[in-house]
This record gives sequence, C-alpha cells and structure tokens, in this order.
Amino acid sequence: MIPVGFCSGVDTAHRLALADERVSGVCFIEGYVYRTRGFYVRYPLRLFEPARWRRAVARNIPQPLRGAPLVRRLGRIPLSAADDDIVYLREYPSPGQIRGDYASMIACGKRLFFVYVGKDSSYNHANQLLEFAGTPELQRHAEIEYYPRADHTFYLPDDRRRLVQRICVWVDRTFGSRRPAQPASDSRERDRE
Amino acid sequence: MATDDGRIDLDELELFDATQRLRLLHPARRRDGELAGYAFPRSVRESIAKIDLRRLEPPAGAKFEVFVKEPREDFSALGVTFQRRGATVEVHSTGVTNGAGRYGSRDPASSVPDPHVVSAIVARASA
Repeated sequence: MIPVGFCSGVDTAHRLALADERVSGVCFIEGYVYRTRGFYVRYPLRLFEPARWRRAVARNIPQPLRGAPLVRRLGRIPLSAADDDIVYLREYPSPGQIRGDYASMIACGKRLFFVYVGKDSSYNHANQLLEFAGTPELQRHAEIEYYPRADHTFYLPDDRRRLVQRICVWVDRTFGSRRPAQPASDSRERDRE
Repeated sequence: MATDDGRIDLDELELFDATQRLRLLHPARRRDGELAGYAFPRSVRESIAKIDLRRLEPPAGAKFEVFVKEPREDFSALGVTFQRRGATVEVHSTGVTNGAGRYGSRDPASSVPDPHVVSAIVARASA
C-alpha cells in the first residue's frame, strides 16, 4: 500500500505510514516543511522574481489609476479574492517528532517520496528537507523532488502532468518488484546485492 | 457585445486566469490551448464565443423554473425569449439578497443556496 498525501492530506498519510505495516511507501506532496538556515539565506532571492514585483504593483495600484492605459490589464484584476482571509490551521509535529517519525518509517523498510514546490511556500531549495532532517538513512530511503516553478495548487497543466509522471516513475522504480515492506537492515542488504 | 454572448464567459475565464496567475506568481502570458489551469483548445473557445442564449432553441416542450434572488432585466429577457420559442418559463424571485449561493466559494456557509432558496425550489417541485 502506497498512500499519497497532498497538503493537509499528508497528516493522514503520515499517521497511516506510522501505524500500518502494510504501507510499503508513502508520497508526501507539499507536506511538513520546516524553515532552515539555507531557506533564510536564499529568501532574499525572491526580490529578483519579476512575478512578485508584478503582483505587488497590481495590489498597490490606487483605485483612480486602475483604468489607466499602462496598467489597464493589471488594474482589471481584483485587489482581493473571496478566500484571501481564510487561514488553514493544522497541528504541526515538532521538528524532533517529525525526524523520529521519518526514522521510524525507514526502520520499518518504508520508502518515502517528498515533493515540494517553490513560489510562496516555505521551501526554496531542493535539499531543504535533508538540511532539516538529513540522515544517511533518509538520503538512502527517501527521494525528494523540488519544483521551484510550480505553485502549491499545481495550477498549470504541465506542472500537474510532471508531478503525476514523477510519482509513477518513483513507484515503478521503487516498487517494481512488488516486494512487501522489509526492515531497513534487510533492504540495505538488498541494495548491496 | 450582448449581455448573453458567450464571449462574456470567455472574458470572465480570462480574468480568472489572469488573477490566478498573478496570485500564484506564474507568468502572465499563458500557453496556447490552455485557460484557467486546464486544456482549452481553440475549437472550444470558438464554440463558446458563438453561444448566444437569445438564439438557442430550447427543447420542444421544455419547461424552465428559474430561481433568482431578485428580478433583473436580463433574467426577464431570457425568459421572454424562451417563451417566444415555445418553452414554459417561470421566474421565481426568492427575495434572498445575501448568501444565495456563491459559486466557487470555499466558505461552506456561502457555497450552498440559502435555506429559503432551497425551500422555494422544494415547494415548487412538490406543487
């Protein structure tokens, strides 16, 4: 069984992976993310993204100027959306707990696949997860895919297509032999063969 | 452009797409054959642009029950057009001015019709 969790769906996939021995692998899409030193070092690079400046300009065009020829296209875009003030709150595991949970999953022979995106997320470089929870075991038994140009909702069709294909590749490559989950020590032996 | 021209719907979709692209930090220019995050071939676009509700033929013997929050000229015009073409049209004003159902809302309280609207529909269906 390979649960795939997306966003808050990761909460359930995570608990399932911990509790159910039938789970041989789990895919976490835009799941738990913790800001690291590397994240903050790269954070100012956002200033070089034209799309952020465009959005900032659009949100700050004074109402009387929204019909002006130069900004007419941007001025048509609503200043706020109906769901702007909706905040989704989730209970986040502590960093120590999440590291322990990943170690526990790996010790049970489960393979992990993490997908993160860029844009407005709290994840901004491919190795951020390893920077946060990196252990040799995690590097060996987990794959991480980072799509800096995708957004959290995978709005663009190409982004969704790429994501689905990548998950299929991971499943085929990791579970192609359809072996049931084995403890990490066993799978290490298998890797050496 | 007529108020019931299909180009109105395309225009709304394009505005939605532009808004989403701006909010989600995607380039403003979209690829050909895509709109609002989905494939949108030119043939579909052209078909929608050609839709004119005033010229659509309703099915023979069709009966329309339209529930609106308040009377509006364009609702009435559509009803008259369908009536002229042999359809039975009844427009019901529910009087609900708030929370009559907001398409696309993620707020459960406003994404479903107001109970008064549902009651009016059920009452009409039961009659």
